[in-house]
Amino acid sequence: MSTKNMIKITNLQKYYRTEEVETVALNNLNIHVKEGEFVAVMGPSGCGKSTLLNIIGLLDDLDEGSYLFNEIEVAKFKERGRSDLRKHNIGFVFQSFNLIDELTVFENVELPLVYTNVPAAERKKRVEEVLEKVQIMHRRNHFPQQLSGGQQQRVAVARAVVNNPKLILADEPTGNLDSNNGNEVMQLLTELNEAGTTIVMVTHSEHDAKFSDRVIRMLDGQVIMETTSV
Amino acid sequence: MIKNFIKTALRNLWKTKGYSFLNIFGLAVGIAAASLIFLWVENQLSFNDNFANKKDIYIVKSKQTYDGATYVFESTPGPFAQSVEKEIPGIKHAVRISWNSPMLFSVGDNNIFQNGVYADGSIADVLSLAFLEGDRKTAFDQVNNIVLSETAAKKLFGNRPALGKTVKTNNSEPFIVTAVIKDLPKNSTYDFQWLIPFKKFEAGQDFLKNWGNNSVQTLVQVEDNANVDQINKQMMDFVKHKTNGEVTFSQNFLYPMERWITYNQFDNSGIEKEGGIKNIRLFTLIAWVVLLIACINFMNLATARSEKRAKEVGMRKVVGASRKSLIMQFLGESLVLAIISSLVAILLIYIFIRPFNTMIGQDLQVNLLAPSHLLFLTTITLACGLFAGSYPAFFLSAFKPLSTIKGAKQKAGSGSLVRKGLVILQYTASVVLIICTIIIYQQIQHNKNRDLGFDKSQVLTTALQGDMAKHLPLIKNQLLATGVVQEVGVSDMSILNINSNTSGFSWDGKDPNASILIGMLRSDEGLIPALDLKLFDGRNFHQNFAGDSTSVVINEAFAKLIKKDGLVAGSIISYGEEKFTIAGVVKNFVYNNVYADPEPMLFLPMNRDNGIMTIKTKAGVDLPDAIQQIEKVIVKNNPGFPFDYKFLDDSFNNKFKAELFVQQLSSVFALMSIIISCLGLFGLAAFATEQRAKEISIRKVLGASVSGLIQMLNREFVILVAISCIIAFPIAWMIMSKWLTNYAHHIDISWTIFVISGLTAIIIALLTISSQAFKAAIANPTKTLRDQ
Repeated sequence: MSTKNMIKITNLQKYYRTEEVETVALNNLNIHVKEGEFVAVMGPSGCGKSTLLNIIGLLDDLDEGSYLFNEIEVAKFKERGRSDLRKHNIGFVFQSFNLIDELTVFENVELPLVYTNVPAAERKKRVEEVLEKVQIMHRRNHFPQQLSGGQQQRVAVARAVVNNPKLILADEPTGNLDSNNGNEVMQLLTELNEAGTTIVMVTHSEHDAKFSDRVIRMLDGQVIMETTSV
Repeated sequence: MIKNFIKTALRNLWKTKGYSFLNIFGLAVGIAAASLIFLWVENQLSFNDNFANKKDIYIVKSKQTYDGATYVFESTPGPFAQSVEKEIPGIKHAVRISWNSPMLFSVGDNNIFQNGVYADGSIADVLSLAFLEGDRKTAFDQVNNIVLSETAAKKLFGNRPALGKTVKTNNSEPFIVTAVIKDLPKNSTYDFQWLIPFKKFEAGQDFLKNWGNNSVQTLVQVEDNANVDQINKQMMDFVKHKTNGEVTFSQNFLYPMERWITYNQFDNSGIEKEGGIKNIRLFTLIAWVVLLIACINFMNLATARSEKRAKEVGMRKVVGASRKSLIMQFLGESLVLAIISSLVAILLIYIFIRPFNTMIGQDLQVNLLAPSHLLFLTTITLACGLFAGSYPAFFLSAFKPLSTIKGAKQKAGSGSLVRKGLVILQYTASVVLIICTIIIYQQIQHNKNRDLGFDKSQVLTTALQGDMAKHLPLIKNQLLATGVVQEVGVSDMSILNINSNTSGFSWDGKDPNASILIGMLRSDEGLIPALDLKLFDGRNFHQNFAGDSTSVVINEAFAKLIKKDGLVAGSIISYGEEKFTIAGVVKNFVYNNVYADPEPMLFLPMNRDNGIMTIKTKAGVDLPDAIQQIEKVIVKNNPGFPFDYKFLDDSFNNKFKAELFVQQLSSVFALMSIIISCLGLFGLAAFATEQRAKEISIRKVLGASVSGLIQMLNREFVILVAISCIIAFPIAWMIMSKWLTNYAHHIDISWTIFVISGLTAIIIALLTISSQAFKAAIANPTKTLRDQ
């Protein structure tokens, strides 16, 4: 783990507004994540952990505050800039896998490389490497509907890492899996982290949180505690 | 990336087969309709393109003013052509051509009628006729030469060469075949099957030497780069100068072949107005409307089902897709769909081109190797793909990744409003087409069924030819003796097309400076009763009255020019030195222009051996049997001439060819647009009921009836169709009011037409969507709620 901050969020405010009500989703949040760290974010439903993850992943914007990603202020980035930064630096793993049903396993994993204009031959090589790594190569021509939950999540992880991102954001990656499959996925994430990838994971599971270096606990949009894993 | 997009597109199409079918079929019908119109437009615009000298070919027209109105005719005096060719610089050839007429040809026992013309030999050069046999330089040398078309030669001589062979014409005169020419294409003004040298026609015909008698056509080819304005200046008063000011009624000018199909109509000031170009523009517009409706279908179905693609869009954005690449992806998908639709459209075109050709009386051909056809199809495919895909591409690519991943429903707001707007646009266009089709149909029926002033039912006409005129009284008696014939009359031309006229008549009280055109028809005493023309004053001709050789019968329009009340029987009119007594006046009857008020005309005693025999059969007779009996009598008295006949009401109906064409085509395209709109509505209804499955189930559980649910589901769409009708009505009214002003006799647009059209549209919509609503209403609610 390096001492350099990959993520530094200061005084983050995030509101959700309707015509009649304004809800504070995140309230004066300050967090940092170092390069190579594995951080778990925990808290009850509605505490803002997924919102935080989306902001870190540049899928959502902040209303106030500062967000430095690798020392670059990204809070005011427009959609194009965010998209560029995201595709080159961040991989996502979701609870419901979010694979594209019309594409095969191979094509799903290949997709990030397509959008970063990697030549076809290079794409093939990298996809096959990653599929081997997650042990799903034998199913490369299958569609997501033909896979089990665990297999789908492995594919999602493969998709998340195929571009060698610096950061992986995982939103309850084992939420839809049984314990065996869940453990497999956590093992994968751990291996990635050991190889140097920074991971921020939202989870309800204390068991999964144990895989992390640090746990940030949230309540009502605020950080209430940070603990370091033993 | 493109490979990825194509794979996704094809897999999506396969995954949603039902909607894909609706989309592909709808777009295919639109593309097929537009393509058929394109073929017809191409056919019209390429009329006469087979003539290599087309840009230099002109017909000579004659402008004549009578009673304040200017008429434009296509006839010129006999001496005109040869004189202008000699005396007006810039004219390369001026060809005299007679009017297209049928002639009986006999070779052994083979007797056939064929249409053709008498023409000067230079016609071969002007029209660059292709000679399959014979020499163009000598083919017209002798008066008894004849040039046959390929088809005529084959009919007469089979596959044997025709050159040098003899054919008998009208069972009397032999002609030597000196050439065979290639058939002219169907989209060509000229379709003669034979050509005989004009000098044969002019022999013994003094009227052809008369500068005051416009009786032939003159076709002109000008020199390359000739100054046509200059030629026209010299031609304008050419006849006046040639006759030293004696003949002044006609001013001549050149009218280009390039405009014969698209314009070639003149108003009553003699100003050129639009002809065929109106229909070309109209149907091109209709083609675009039908295509638009098909594209709107695509847009609606694609955006309605956007929820299904939302997650994919979101994830693509998460893994790095830019909005631009998503737009490219969806445009690519719609292009794939457009290509598939085009292939289906090609199949539809091949299936329907034959009945379409029968309907329009043309011979359109699809040739996918022809550059113009390929270009059109490619352009249409690209245009449809890009246009139809544009809105869904921009709509879908705008989805926010976060909300799609969360599974949040996209905002119904603007997308749903646009879809409703598009449905309204589709149905508005369809309802306008329906209303226009109904009104055109009513206008045609109105004119077909109006009181013509004569009775065309049970009347047949046959050519008066060969020896028939010699044995006329005998033939008439024998026909009447069959018991199936009521009356028989003869005339020099058909009552429906009185093409002879003059301004030379005068009468007591006529303004000597007024020039009034009077139609002339030569007939015997049998014609008026055969057509049941009603006498207004006086009597008909009578064969027993010797004095009737100088009697005329005039129509009411003519009579009222002479005297206000029209009671002019017994009055005298004169033509130059000749005096005629008005034996009787018939009530006005419709002739020539079925849409206009009858113009003044008169019946002169028949003095020709050729013309038309009009036979009125008795009411209630078996027509096939009657025709057989009539044929026996005619053939017995005129052997060697095959018996051919037409029903007068068929000949009359032919006058509505142009309007019928418009009506038939607009019916076909109105039907297509409704079909496409219904396909779209069906798809949207299916989708809407799918979306509301949970709501429907809950309502059922709470006690809603099936009929109540169907009403609820149908309501939204019926309102859209009703709005379309409200918008369509004034648009259709404006268009058709303007169209009807082209006709002196036209219907009043009744409110019932709008009610019928509106109800028809709503009923069709209800039938389309009710099946979906019914299916949803009777579904098991527990199953739906469990699946939810």
